[in-house]
Amino acid sequence: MKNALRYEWMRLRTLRSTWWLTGLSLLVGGLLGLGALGPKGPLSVQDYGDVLTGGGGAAILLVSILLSMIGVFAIGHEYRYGTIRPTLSALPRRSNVLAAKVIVVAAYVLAVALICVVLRYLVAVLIVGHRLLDVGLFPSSMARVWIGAIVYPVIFTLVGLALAGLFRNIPAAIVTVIVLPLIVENILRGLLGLHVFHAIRGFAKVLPFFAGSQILRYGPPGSSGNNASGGAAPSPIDGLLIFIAFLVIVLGLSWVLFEKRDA
Amino acid sequence: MIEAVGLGKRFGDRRAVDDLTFQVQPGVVTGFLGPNGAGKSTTMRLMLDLDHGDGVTRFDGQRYRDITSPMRRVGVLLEAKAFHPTRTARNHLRMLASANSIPVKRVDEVLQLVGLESVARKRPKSFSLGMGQRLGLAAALLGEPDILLLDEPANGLDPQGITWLRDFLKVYAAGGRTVLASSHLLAEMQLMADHLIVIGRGKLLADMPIAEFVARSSHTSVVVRSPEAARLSELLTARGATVVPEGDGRLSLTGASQEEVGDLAFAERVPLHELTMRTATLEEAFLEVTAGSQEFETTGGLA
Repeated sequence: MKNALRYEWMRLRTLRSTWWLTGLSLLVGGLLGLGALGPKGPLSVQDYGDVLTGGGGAAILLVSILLSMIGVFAIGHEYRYGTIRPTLSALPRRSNVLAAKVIVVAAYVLAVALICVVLRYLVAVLIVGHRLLDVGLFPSSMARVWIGAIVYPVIFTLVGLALAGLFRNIPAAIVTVIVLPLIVENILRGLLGLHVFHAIRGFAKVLPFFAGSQILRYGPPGSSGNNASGGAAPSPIDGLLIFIAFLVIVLGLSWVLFEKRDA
Repeated sequence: MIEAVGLGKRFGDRRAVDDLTFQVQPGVVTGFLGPNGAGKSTTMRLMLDLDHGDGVTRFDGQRYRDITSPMRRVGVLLEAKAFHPTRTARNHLRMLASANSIPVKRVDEVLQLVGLESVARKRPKSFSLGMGQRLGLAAALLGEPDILLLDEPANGLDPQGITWLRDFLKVYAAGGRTVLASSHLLAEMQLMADHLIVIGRGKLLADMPIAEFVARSSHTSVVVRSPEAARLSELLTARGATVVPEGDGRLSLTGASQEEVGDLAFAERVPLHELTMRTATLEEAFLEVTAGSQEFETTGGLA
């Protein structure tokens, strides 16, 4: 397993795409939306939440999409460039290869997401100074939002990795990982909000990306930090568990196929 | 030594590899031949557990997937240009080396060995097929393995590269190592291999030394020229030889050795002006053995 981890870390850091995706994530995650911070007056917890997530989690979602490409490439490149056979010739135990990919990519994305959110906070402090510090380091539910801002991109990225393993095709995995949260889930939530679908409205709660994003929820209903859409949303912890369950299903399926398919 | 027992693989209704059993001995280069689609690459993938199928292959007694650092025991080249186009050649090899705890200095050694040291830090997206093949060979040699499994290693190499590869593999095998190499370049295989495994439509067609394979061909014949060709032909036919007149008093025959023809002519007082062996080329022997086993047959020719 140690060799597989070494191999995967070497694979990840010798790819140019890893570095430009990391740079872009730091740029977007570190700065997006901070220009809107007001110059005067005390800051509320709501403002603090906007600082951390870019307003309703927009910055975190964008960072997640960018970083998920690292997950997609972790398996997608193996099939795109035919390196899966040299990889499995060097490391014939397939479970070790996949486990190493999951561990290394998750650890790397966790570190980048952490740096992103710390960077955001520090840049915000530079912009608004003590007014942000006056709110406290972890006011109200903000400790959870901090954790969410780090964990959500990791799960998102691993979903990308798992989808690339399922499809063995980079474009298909990229389209799915973007279209599912941004378009498909929004359309479904809109439809399920209609009166005619009242009976199955609760289904909206288990849409995985939406459910997962509840970990970033803050502020009162109707505010920029509340994406609960009138109660049809799970609690932040339940939402995170739903997102994790979705990851486990997709990754499990991908794992079984990785073991069963010809390389 | 490699032992493959009962290898089998089915794609839908088609048996791509059909109950293949063979051994690859150390000390000689073994050529792996077959027409397009015969199942050579599939067989190699089955041997390495990359494809799932029937049978088992043991490398010095162990299955590939059970070998702890396989690159140190078995060097593998399956396809050219299996690398990421923007990862430098050196980093590609460093990555593979890290999977089997192979020291980095070995990376530089193999790059030099295959003649890629000048492009080691270049991105390989502009590599030619031959350069890609050299990088693949470098990867196979990284762990200084005792066994080499190479699918079309000469593919894309220039004449100098092919000569280098041939000499290298012969020396490598002569040191007591095991080499199995497939190729569709029959003339090249004739120079490189000592032993042949030939398959067609997934079935084993021949497993023997190359000299024996060629000698068994009907294209290997005794040629004899005599002013009394007609009488000699009758005498040879009476003793069970198959004789084909070639004109100018020359006969081509199978079913009798050079010595038997000479002794017969001496005993029957038939003057001989020529008595030689015509050895089949590997190509002639190969085409004869694989006739009817081609997966993709051509139907027309040039007028």
